[in-house]
Amino acid sequence: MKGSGSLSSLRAALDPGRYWSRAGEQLQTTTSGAAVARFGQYAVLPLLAIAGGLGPSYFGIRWTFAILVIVMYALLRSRSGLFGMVVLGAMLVYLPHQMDTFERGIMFDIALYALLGIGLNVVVGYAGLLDLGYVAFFASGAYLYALISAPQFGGGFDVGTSFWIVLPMAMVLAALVGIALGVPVLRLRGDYLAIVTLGFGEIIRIMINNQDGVTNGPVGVFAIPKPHFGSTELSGPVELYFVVLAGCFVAAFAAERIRDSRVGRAWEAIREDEDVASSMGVNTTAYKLMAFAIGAAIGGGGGVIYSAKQSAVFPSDFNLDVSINVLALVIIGGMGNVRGVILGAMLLIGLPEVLRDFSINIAFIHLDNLGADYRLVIFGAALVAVMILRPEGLLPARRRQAQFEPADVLEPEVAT
Amino acid sequence: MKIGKRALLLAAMLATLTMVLAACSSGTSSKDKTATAGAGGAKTPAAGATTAATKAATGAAGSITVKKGDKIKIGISTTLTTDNAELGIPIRDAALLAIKTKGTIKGFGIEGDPQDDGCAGPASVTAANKLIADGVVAVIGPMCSGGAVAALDPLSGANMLTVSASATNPSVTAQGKKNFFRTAWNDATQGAEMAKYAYTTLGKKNVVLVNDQSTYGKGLMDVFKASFTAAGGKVASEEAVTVGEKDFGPTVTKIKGESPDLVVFGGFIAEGAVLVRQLKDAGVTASFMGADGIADQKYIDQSGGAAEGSYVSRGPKPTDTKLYDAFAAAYKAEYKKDAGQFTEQATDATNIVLAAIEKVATVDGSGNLVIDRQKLIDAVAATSYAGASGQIDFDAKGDRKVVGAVNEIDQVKSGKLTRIQ
Amino acid sequence: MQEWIQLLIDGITIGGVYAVIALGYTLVYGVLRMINFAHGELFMMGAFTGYYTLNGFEKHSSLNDSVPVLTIAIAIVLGMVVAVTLALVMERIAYRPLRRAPRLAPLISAIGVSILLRNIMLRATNAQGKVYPKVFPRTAVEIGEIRLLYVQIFLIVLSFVFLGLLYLFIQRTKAGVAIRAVAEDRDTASLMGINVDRTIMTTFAVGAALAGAAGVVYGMFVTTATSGMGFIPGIKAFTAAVLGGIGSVPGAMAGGYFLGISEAISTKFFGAQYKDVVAFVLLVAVLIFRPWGLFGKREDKRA
Repeated sequence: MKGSGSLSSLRAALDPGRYWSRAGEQLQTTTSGAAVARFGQYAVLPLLAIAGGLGPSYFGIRWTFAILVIVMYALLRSRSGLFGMVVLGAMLVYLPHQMDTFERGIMFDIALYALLGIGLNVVVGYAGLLDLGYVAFFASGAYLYALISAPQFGGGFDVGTSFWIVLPMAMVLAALVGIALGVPVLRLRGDYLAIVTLGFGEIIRIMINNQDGVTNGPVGVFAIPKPHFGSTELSGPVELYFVVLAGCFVAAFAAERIRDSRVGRAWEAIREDEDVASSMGVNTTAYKLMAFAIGAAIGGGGGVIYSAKQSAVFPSDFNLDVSINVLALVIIGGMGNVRGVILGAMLLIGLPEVLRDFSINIAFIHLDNLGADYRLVIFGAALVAVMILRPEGLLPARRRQAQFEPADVLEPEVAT
Repeated sequence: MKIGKRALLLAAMLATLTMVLAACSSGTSSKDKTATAGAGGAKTPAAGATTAATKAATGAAGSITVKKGDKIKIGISTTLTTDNAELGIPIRDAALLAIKTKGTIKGFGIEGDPQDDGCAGPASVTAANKLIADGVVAVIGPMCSGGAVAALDPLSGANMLTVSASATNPSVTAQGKKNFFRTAWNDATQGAEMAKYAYTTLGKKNVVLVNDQSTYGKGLMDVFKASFTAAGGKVASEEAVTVGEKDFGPTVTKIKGESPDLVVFGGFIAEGAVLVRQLKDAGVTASFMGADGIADQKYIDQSGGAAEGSYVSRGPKPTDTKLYDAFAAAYKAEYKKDAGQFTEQATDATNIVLAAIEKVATVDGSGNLVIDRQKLIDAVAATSYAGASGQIDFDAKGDRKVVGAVNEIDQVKSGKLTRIQ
Repeated sequence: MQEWIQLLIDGITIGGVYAVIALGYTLVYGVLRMINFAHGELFMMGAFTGYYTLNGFEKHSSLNDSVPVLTIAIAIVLGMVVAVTLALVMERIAYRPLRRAPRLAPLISAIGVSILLRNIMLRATNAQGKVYPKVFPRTAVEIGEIRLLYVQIFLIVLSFVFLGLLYLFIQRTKAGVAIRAVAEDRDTASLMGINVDRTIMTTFAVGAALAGAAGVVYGMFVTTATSGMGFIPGIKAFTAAVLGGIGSVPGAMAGGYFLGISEAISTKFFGAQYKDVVAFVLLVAVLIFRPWGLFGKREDKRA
């Protein structure tokens, strides 16, 4: 905390007017919005319960999900100690054994997107670089594993072990791709950066789609082998879920450590005001590239696991929706916060799928196919509702209250 | 405080990793569990309260038991969201109609379980998982080739009988999954037949190929190109359109510059109708040819008359259309709409599955219906069925054999698809 | 040569559509600093309104044949009305509560609205693409090899007219001045007696009216309306707005045409598969030399 404290006092010293106007705005937010926000904290619970599957005879429930979501929300929110984390870990490990194939598949997807969210969070949440092309790194990891291991291309590696070799390779590759993207866009800010990264994601997908000779184009790569752990084949969604889960923990741990380090403070300085940071001697170029590289490496690792689980990958798997989903779950979770990312993933990835079963059977109202036909309509409305109720995200980071105000990213308020 | 938190995370991480390793080391047993739970057998007690009526349970030897009084569930994996639902909804409706028409099997009711497969890998896998968890007996679908390839991983893991009405890419059956069959024609057959017709019958020598960058469209055009150039024809250029766009002006201008005598399109209605109309608007006089992706009245309607004269390949079909007409009439009576493309294949797929269930299902001592998954697959493999889309026999890969039929080519005449071969 | 002129015309046709949609992005961005991801959906709703209006006339009257000018005008006005209404509702429900929220919250809210509208229309139409009745004769002006459909000329001219009108509106009217003032500095504008809420609503309404009208005319040009038709033009228009310098009105116009023409020309050279690659590479190239876009204000960059 020492670093950020000195930084903010420094900033205040450099520019008291700016600091105070900010504080004033914050105050305004908290007083006028207090009632709404307080209400929102509780109103969001039922919304999360929808993510869990909703009430028994009325709605068609997925109990395991509902319990998991609610307990997770409570634990993560209360910032409970060791006990809470152990309970959480135990639930994440135990509950999938109690789930059916569908729920396990969703658990895998949620964990995978949580992993991607942790990666993107480094870029967007820590360093404040708005990235709408995160799918590029995910795709490069997925295709690296697919091309190296699928029998279509000769199979190259020993299928039993290639996964564990490709995983770090893919992370390095993705990090390099991240740097390659980062260099030309270093000078760009805010929404300019967003659209350029979006374009970059699209370029990667289009290239994969059209370089038939290398990637087999839209026909895709299939029969991708499952990884082995020792002599055990990790074939089902549950086994691979544990791989992602382990990945999440490692990535979250690493991300939080980096955030609390010198690097993290540099990111925070860049996020808050790049020019001030730069003039204070922070090497903005190096730290921005580092954020891109770390975020990309996590995405690339996620891609390898995805490719192994899916056993077939297509260019269309890596469209813009993936980037939007990952960004949305980071923001909904509460940017700059790993715990929030996990909740965001549950809501954003879990909700549209568990809504497949959504139906209402109360008294004379029988809407059996509500979920099958209208799940995305409900999902869209839920996104709006969550944002209105919790504009800061479900679990905002403690230190991020003052970030990303309307004027922050593009428009310099200080006339120098 | 910071250190405390870090230690916490570390502890939690270590704890989890330990548990993960423990879980992984017993990989085989947990895999067995997956198989059991796969058909809904090991659900939590509370899940019993689900509104879904069927509670099929898996027996030891890969069989499904439908309890007395429950319904036999047939999964339908098709596209219900995005613009691709234009194709997916009629497929669902055709399958549901076949189920409704059949009514019961050995006294057990039947119900369809439609799931949105998004016409893509990830959503198709989710839909497949959902159907496995719902305890369906068989799956009609997935709708799209890419989705089918991806979804076959969990579906074959569950030894689930899967019959697709519309996944046409050669890659789907090339994987050698024993549980997969299709009533759609393999693009390898279709594309070669199209090339032959274009080169030999129509006498076209210089073509431009346009694909929609999908697994289906690109795959079909690749087969066409190979066959057409092997026969001696020339492919002037290969163009592409983007699904979701509605203005292909520059592509059309480029095609015009190539002065081909035929434009061949691999893709679906929405883009096909726009393309043929814009070609005509631009004054391109070359003929237009498409395949089963546009074999639908909607293609003609949406083209605003520009489709007149274009050729549409539909795969090998019998000249006798009695069965098809009967199906189309029943479909129209039920939904007040014309039967669209792939609907006849969908109804055939469903009927084949239902017939196979009838053949292998046995009622046990307590009045439950028992269906052996492997026997069900074997029964479908041995099918010889005269359906709305023609005679259906499967080869070893699960593709249709061409039996007593020539590849149907339609031409749009007076706003209707009219068979000319 | 003639092929090049034709490509240029193709580019201007689609570029005009991008430009008109991009204006909505850029105006809203100017006053709220938010990316209204649902803007492309207003365009789609406009196209559907056009279809339902013209189809209604087709079925219940012969006005489409006797006075097509009237029915088309009505369709365009209704398209604007529907889009404006939706935009105002959207603003009130999904964006206004987030005025002081973290910067990216409205973005997610907008994505939610976009998903919502797309799927509502998907269900409302049962995923069947709607075909416009033939109101415009599909005949063309021919000069040598160059062909221009009448509806295409209409689309091109109309986008010019819209752009011109909007420019006058922003520069000459009181409301336009208010929009510029709020874009410049919301708090100061408020202190100067400008009703910020109303100005923001005006901005949404103007952007939506343009998108709705563009939707109707584009629908007549391509003759179909589908629930997914707003997404790609929306993304493209967003790109155009950034290319021109987001927040800048002339920038959005220039960006739209630049993007459309670059797509047309790159289709000729590399095939339509790669047109988006070319467009984005050009975007990066432009932004490397002018990080604030073609017409963006330099003050955005101080280093």
